[in-house]
Amino acid sequence: MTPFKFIIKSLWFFRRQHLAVFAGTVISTAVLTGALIIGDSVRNSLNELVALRLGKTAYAMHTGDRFVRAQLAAEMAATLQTTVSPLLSMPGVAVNSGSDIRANGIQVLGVDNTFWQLQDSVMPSLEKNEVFLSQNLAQKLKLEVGDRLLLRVEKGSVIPLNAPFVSESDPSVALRCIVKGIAGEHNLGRFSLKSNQVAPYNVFISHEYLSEKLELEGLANLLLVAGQKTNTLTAEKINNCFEQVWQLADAGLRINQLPESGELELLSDRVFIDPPVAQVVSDFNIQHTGILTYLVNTISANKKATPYSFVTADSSPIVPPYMKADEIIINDWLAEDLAAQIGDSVVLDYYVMGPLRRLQEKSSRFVILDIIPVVGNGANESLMPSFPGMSEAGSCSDWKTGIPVDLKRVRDKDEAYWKKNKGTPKAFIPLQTGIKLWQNKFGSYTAFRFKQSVIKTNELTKAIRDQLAPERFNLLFLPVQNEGLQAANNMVDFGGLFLSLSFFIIAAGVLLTLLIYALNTEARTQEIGVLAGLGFNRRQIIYIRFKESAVTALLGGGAGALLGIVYNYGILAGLNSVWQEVVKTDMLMVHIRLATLLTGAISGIVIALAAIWFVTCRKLQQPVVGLIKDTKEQSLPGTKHFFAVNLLIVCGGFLGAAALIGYAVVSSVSQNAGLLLTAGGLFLIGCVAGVNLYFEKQSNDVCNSVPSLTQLALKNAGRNRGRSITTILLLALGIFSIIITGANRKTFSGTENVNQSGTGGYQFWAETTLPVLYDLNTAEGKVKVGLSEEDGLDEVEFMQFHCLEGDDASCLNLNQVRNPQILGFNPETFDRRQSFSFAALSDEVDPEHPWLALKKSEGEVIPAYADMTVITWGLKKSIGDTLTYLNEEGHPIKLRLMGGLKNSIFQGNILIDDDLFRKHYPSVSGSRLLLVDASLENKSRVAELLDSNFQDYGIRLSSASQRLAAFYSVENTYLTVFMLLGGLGIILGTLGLGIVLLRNMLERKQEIAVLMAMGYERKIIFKLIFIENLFLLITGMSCGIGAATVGILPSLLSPAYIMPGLFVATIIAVIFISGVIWIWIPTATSMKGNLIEALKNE
Amino acid sequence: MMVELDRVGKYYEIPGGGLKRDVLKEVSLKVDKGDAIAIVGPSGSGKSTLLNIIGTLDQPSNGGVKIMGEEVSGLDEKQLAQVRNRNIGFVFQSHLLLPQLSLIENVLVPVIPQKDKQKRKAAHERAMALLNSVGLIDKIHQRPGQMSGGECQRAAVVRALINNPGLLLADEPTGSLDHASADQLGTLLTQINREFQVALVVVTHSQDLANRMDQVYQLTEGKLVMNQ
Repeated sequence: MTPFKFIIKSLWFFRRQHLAVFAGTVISTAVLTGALIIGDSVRNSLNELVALRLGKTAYAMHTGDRFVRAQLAAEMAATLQTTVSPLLSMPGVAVNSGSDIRANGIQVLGVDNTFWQLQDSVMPSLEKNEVFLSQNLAQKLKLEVGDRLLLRVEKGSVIPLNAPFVSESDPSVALRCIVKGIAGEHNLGRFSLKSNQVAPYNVFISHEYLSEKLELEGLANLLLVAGQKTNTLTAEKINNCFEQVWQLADAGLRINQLPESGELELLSDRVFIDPPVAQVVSDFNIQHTGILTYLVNTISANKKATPYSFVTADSSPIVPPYMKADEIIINDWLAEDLAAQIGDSVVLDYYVMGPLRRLQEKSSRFVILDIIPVVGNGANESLMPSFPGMSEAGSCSDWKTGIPVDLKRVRDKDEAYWKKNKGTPKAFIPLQTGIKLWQNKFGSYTAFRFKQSVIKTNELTKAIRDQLAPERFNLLFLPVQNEGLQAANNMVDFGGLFLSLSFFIIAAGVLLTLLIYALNTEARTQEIGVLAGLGFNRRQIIYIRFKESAVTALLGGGAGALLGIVYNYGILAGLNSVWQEVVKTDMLMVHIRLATLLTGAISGIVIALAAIWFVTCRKLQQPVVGLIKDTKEQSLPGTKHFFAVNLLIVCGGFLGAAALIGYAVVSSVSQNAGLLLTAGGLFLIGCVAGVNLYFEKQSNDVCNSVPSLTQLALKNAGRNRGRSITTILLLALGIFSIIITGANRKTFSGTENVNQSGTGGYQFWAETTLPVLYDLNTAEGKVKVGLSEEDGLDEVEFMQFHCLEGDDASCLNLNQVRNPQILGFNPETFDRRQSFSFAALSDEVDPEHPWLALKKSEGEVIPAYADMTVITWGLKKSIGDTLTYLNEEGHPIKLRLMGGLKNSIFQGNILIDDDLFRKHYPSVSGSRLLLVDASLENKSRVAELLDSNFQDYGIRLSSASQRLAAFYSVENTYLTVFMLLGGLGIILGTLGLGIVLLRNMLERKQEIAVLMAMGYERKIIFKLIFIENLFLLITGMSCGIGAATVGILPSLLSPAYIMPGLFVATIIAVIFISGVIWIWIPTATSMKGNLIEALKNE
Repeated sequence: MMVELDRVGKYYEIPGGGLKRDVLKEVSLKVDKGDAIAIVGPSGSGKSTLLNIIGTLDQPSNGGVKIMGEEVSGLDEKQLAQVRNRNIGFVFQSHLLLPQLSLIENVLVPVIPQKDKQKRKAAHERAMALLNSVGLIDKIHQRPGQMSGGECQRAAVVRALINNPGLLLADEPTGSLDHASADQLGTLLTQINREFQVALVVVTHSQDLANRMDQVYQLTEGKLVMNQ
């Protein structure tokens, strides 16, 4: 007999016991491996989605609200020797012309043939009004090839729509198109630069046709660069190339020659010269003149008024250097009109533009220094900038401006002046005074002039180009493919997540292995004793037992790893279907890595072997004689020391829990999960120590009468106190965890209308595809969007947000997000309404008025708020951390997270003060996000009005509570998965307990036989055993429920908290029923057959 | 008559072969109040089977069994349990005391199924008296693990007597005891037999214990024969 033969023989003889250990190992390994594979599968699926989303695109530049020449792409392609594609990317709305089915928030992509080179298959050219639709859009609109659709596309403009005096035209252009084809996922149908697994709605249309319709001929706002197989392209190389080929036109600049004055004039297509350009020019060592021409509403003097005149802030030669800040030079036409003399006082009334085109009329008083002729000495119509809607107007009545013009005020003489002199300024003020009065976020100058005698056109062009880096306009090519892959690889850790979610099943599997092995070991105690008695040393015995079981563990680990693949298929099937709420895609595919399989298998094997090692070593601690006699462990009465220690644990546990809960209630930290879990844990420890004391008391109770059947059952429960306490503890822990999870399911009923809730008390969350440029809280703003006084919307409050597009950082996006969408808004409104609640605030924030902290910026650091969930999980940041963005001028700005909101409708966004938003992103025109507060009675009527009036804006109106519920549903789905898997784990755990009970029954067969001999009926014995185990089940569950209640007590005391009682009750009931079944089965099984046989085997 | 066996037979079917193995063959026995009989025989001769049939724990294959004049073959499990609880006390080779209970509690376990309140009330007093009589009164709060084998076996005898049965059945009661303890237990059993007029049937290998009984029966090849 060799050790090997001994092991093999034992293995075969005890095959049934080994089979049970094998089953336990298989379960724990399968779940563990499956969870790890889920991580790989989701990561791999997201990586594949990046490839589908971008095709061969490796780098991209989105120009924001600017436009560059489409020709740039060809110029760069020639240099870089790769495909560079120019696109016009605009938001839009699509409507099925036949059925009126509508899709808002679509991406209209004006593409040329170069775009299709970014994927592998050949796509036909798009003519005029032909379009390709992405598959999901075609499905949504129920459109097929050849069908017609109406596209409403945002009318892009080279001039920011909220710049002063920009005319108000229709914000969109309607295009009637024919579906030429469907772009599948391998034909860039999912094209998007956003790291998101959710497929966008895309319409691909001819670049030429779209740019013509949008009056943006030859322009693009998105350039895509294909990667090279050699991987020699870098962002630096591409940006250098861009810098080489870009021209002033790409910055919206042009240089005009003014022959009459012998000057060169630098102008911007955006009317106001961008500050970076102004900075470059002012840094020149070349003589130049800055000009700022502004439209004033009224120039008045001597009780006379001249309407709508241009006034230029200038310097020499028109404005002499000695002119004081409050002095003005007027032309003789104006002097005559106002009957004004030198030295008279003149008042200028003018508008300044606030957010959402809110106009504020201001006045400034000047003293007339001089009166000059209308034209001459530099004064002419060229000083008027090219305001669209005005410059080309033949008469004043044709003006289309962004300010209200009262044509009744325009006199014949004004029309005559316009016809003769156009926008020739009627007055001049010092440049610095003009800048002080009229500078705005778009610039402080409308032109710069240079003496041609000093610098030629080409020299000026070169000088500006050399000094003006594209990044000053935030024009940068970014490595979108790498960023996408990075975002996918740093995704939500699904492996870890499902490992956590599967914790109870893994624990149950390990527990089963441990229990079954422990029972097997106990059954073979005598064998160990005999081996010891025969001279085997401790190490040799462990070696034999360990090797014997290692075979089982190895086989179990291997089989478990393979079964893990099946588990993974199951979970992914769930995620792609019933749990789609959490992944928002059905594109998740199983991806198996050998390394992961091995990791899972090895982990499972190691856990099983550790359990086996632990049990064997523990058993060998018993004296050899004890092993041979197989003395069963019995609980003997405890000592005073035992009593004191237990009492101390009971008191410590309960008092500790009470103190923590008291602290949590007093300091309103109901969100501090760690604190509350600790309180619950302490309570649980106290409970279990209390049960231990109870067992002790039961066993020490002096018997003065015949005990009842229940008393006998309770005493029996304390028979093997170790097993009983373990049973109670495991049940309690399982119940505690599951209830804590279940009770945290997010629900609301009625609380969503409270201002402090996650909706802020607003009824609607509305997103528009096209920007709303007006303040909807004003009568004028309402009129502009077609709402009238009769609509009775006076009591409706709108909260409008400026949005800087970014990635969705909410729990709906699986990718890691670095720069979420920024929302600019007026924090004072939320402060006044006391809207929303905070989960955490920085120490610097006044908790009474947290919203006002957003107004306190320090240098380039901007205070910001976000949802606490987003901060913690989406951004993986903490309060006080900063996020870095580039502002419109390409300067990095830091957003400091000053606090985290409790679950709110803002999940996925960063909130900052609107003034700071507009300072850094002045070109972001209008608002695309509205919160609407209406009375509950008016809710449906308001919804109807908004839906109809904002139809052309592509409004997506949703109830704020529905939006919140959508986020809740993600969390709730995760919790459901956890509870489902956890519940399975507990049921598996109760199965383990059932096995222990069966083992107990086997051990106690003689006891049962003796009771029968004493005249106990079978049903009484059944009742006795059932009560005994029911006590353990109920005690374990009660301890768990009690501890969980402590854990959620601060939430329970909060009026805003709604306990999902039915849900929790269902879980408890299911676990209880499962427990009863697993008590019933072994008890009933053990009562069958000839119990008297046990007496013979004594 | 406490026990009346009338040509009791017991056989077991041998699995697969359709054959029978006779354990008891037409065994007849009468045990009256106050009788003390021993049944001896080699291992596997069917002694314990016979005792279990007498104790209604097992059913004969044929023949009749009367306990206290009542034919038990037609009784259901519940009625049999009541018969055992009221009329029969058992003592086994091992004491089979419940380790989680104190001595007094162990003794009172057979009273639990009793529905007669008077009996339940009197049981504690009786238990104390019996324990006093067997010299265990000072150990009533101890548990089996804290007592010697002899003490435990004496406690098991008291437990068997707690419902005041007319019949005490003992299956190898001294089998796991040392000589002194076995002797002490033998004395106790005979003492009980005499004092309480309890019919005593003892299955034993111990000649010493058998010799203490009024009659000794030999069970060989399924036949019960009285030793002269």
